[in-house]
Amino acid sequence: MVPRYHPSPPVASGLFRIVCGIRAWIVAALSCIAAVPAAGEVGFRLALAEIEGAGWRAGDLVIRLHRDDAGRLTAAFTAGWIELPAPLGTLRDIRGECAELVITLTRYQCGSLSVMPGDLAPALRGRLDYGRTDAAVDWQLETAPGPPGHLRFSGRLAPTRWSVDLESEDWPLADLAPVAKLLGQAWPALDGRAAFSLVAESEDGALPSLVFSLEGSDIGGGNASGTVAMAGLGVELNGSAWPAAEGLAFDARGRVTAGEIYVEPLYAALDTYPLEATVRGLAESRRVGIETFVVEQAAVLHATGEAELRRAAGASWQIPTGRVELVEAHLPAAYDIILQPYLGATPLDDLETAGLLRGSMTIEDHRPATLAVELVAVDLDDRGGRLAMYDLAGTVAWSRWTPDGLLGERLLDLDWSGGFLAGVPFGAADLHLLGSANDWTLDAPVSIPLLDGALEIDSFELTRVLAGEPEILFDARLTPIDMRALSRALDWPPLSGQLSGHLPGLSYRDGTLTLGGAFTAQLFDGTVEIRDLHAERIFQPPSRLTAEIELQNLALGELSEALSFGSMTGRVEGHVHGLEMIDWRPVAFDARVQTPPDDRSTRRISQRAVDNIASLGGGGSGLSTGLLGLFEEFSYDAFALGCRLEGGVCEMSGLEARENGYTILRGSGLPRIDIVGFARQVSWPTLMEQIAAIMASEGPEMR
Amino acid sequence: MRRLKLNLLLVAAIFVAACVTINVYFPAAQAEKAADRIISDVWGRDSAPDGEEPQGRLQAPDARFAPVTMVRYAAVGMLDFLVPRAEAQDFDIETPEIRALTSAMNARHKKLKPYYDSGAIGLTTDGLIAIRDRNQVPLAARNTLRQLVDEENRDRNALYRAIAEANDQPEWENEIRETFAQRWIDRASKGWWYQGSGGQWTQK
Repeated sequence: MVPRYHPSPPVASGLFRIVCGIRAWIVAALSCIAAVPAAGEVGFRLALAEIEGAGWRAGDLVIRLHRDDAGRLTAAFTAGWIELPAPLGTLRDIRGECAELVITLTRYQCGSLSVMPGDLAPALRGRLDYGRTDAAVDWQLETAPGPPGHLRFSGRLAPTRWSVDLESEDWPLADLAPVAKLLGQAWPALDGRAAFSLVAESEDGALPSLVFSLEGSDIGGGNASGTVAMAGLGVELNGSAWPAAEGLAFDARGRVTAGEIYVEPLYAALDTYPLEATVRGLAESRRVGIETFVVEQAAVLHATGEAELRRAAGASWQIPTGRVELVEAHLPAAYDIILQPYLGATPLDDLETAGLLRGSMTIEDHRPATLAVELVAVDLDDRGGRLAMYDLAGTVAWSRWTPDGLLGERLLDLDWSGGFLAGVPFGAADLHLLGSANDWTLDAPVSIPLLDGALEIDSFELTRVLAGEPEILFDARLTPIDMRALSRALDWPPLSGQLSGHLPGLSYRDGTLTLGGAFTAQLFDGTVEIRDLHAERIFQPPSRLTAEIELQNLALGELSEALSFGSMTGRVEGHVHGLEMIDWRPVAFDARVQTPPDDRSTRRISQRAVDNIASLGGGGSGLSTGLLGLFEEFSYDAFALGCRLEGGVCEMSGLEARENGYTILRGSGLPRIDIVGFARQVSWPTLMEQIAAIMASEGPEMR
Repeated sequence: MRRLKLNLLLVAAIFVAACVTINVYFPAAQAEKAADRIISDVWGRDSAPDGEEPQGRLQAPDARFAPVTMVRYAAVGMLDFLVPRAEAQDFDIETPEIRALTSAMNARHKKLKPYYDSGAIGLTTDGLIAIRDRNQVPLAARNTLRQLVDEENRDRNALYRAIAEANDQPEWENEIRETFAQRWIDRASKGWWYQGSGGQWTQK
């Protein structure tokens, strides 16, 4: 009887076939038989070119029988090759010798048997009995003590039942390569040692019951390309399998407690994070049903699930249905080991994390059908200081079957208690997204507290989520933020005023942030308008930002105070056109500030401001040492200063060109003072250093 | 019939001219000089000296006086006559973006150097780098190396595009990449690995 199903690899049933074959040997191409009597001894030699049974063949056989003076019988055989049925392959150069052969009416008994099974294993020694009445073979064989480990192989084959017991201690895994090759299995280049045991038994030609265990230490190796590799692994595996229904039921448990493993791109140090897994199910020829599996990695995750694997003839295994329950995943270990490797080159690739994740996923019809992830008290803190969010809680729930992709009421519910964006603190908020698999939208406006103001997000749309090219579109308003607090948070000089305005049509696509309209901020009692804002590669340096800025009606008093420039009153207008920043540093612009021609406000400038402006223009005023040093302030008529930055050089300009220079400030009244710049071209880094020095110094104020 | 022949000839001439212009006007020698300057900035002392003045493809004398070459010279001459030829200036690589990319690549090179030395990574024919042998790398460092290689390749791709854009010739990106690919390999230290045109790895 041929078993209906072979578990892979079906060693036990393969053996069973051989037994059947031996018992039913049919053809023998006898080439030569010769009796070879020797002096004082009796013997004969049988040579066979080829012998064939059901599913097996052997060739180049020689069997010798020999009786010595004392009447002891010895048998020896050699086989050049033995071809075994698939999946077993061909054995070569098998030799055996049976000393102390006893032949009676009921038994053939071999008290001292040695077998040299080619390159499969070292020589085995033991005993073998064959009962002629019950046609049963009993044997017990083991390797000689000492390196490379110890192997014991015993069993009993009878017409209706068989059992095999294989045990080893301290066995080099590299020695299993020939066995794997015989079984037609690819054997990875492994080193290390293992103790294993396998007990298999079968009755009436049914599939065998198996009990197995393996304990390996210091296991290393991997595939040739190095995408899968392990080193120093300590492994324990045990389980059993038994015939049930149409196939073989199995129950196995494994633990990996030492060493390290890399399965690209995942890496785990198992000394710190030991891994344990159990699996129970039923295997049939084209279907494996996993009733339950549990994976636990200490301090990392705990997951359970079930799955069905199927394969069509000649195809690979597929998962038509399944369910995974992520009972919990602990941060930071789950982020470091499982998530980070997949987040390279994203804004989330270098985070300090804390908290818990839970979730579940179902597979139906070979595809993910539902997905739910829950965040519990999660903290994210970017080591690069770009973003931090604290006490994040929420759920993402998605289903393929509902038209709007919702598993519950909403696709995403998320709230947090606070965080930082580029150093600016923001407060608690609660947001909810609706949508389908690919397009998510905000179900109600959200207000995120930002310093003393807030970012009011009116609409938010995330599209093409699963297409791998997510696009974000949102409209938001900034309610007034105190510039002093903002400049403190950004480590800027203390700026006065308030920042507020409308951020219309802000979009993020393909790494580029674009502002659809103009953002207007109320600063220094005037207006700053930012247009055509375009930021490329904001998360992948070198980032590039371009914008056009218009300045209207700024109060010089507040501006000069903020920049510690000395006191200056009046109003200015101006622009920064063609601003280009690489890695957040300006590399090109055409900037100009000037007093508006139609402005009637009082225009006064302090002595210190005169000094500082003059130094920017390439000279010193010398005011503090001369007669004019007696005056604290001066009136002025007009002021203008421009810089066109290109190639690291600032082309300076003022109110009007003069011989050898340009007028920056035209005085009025008495004493009248004009500031003239002489340096037309100033190195941008030098100019920045000068400005920094001016802002850092309190400056000499003459009294 | 005669008119048809003339038309065909004209079409053929236009085709030849159209095919030739891009190749002819790519200033290979200047591109190689520019590549060498950037490679020195990125690799520092790890780069082999330039050696001889790089021979530009434009200047390389054609050994064979093949008809194709003659047509090409004729086409170039014609184009020079019709369109004033651009001055063969130095390649512009002094833009802030290129400087930022070069400086990021130089910082990363300190981390990549041990992997070049051990043969874990090598230089590819398309001007990028690739992992050649993960088995040279400790298990714990393999993912880090994978991410470093990804980041380096992202910067290299951005660099080739930025150089083409800095010179107002976005269509030169491929030629610039090819020039760099050859110069990275030429300037690599002894013992480093590079990929041949068939994809096979060779040690310098």
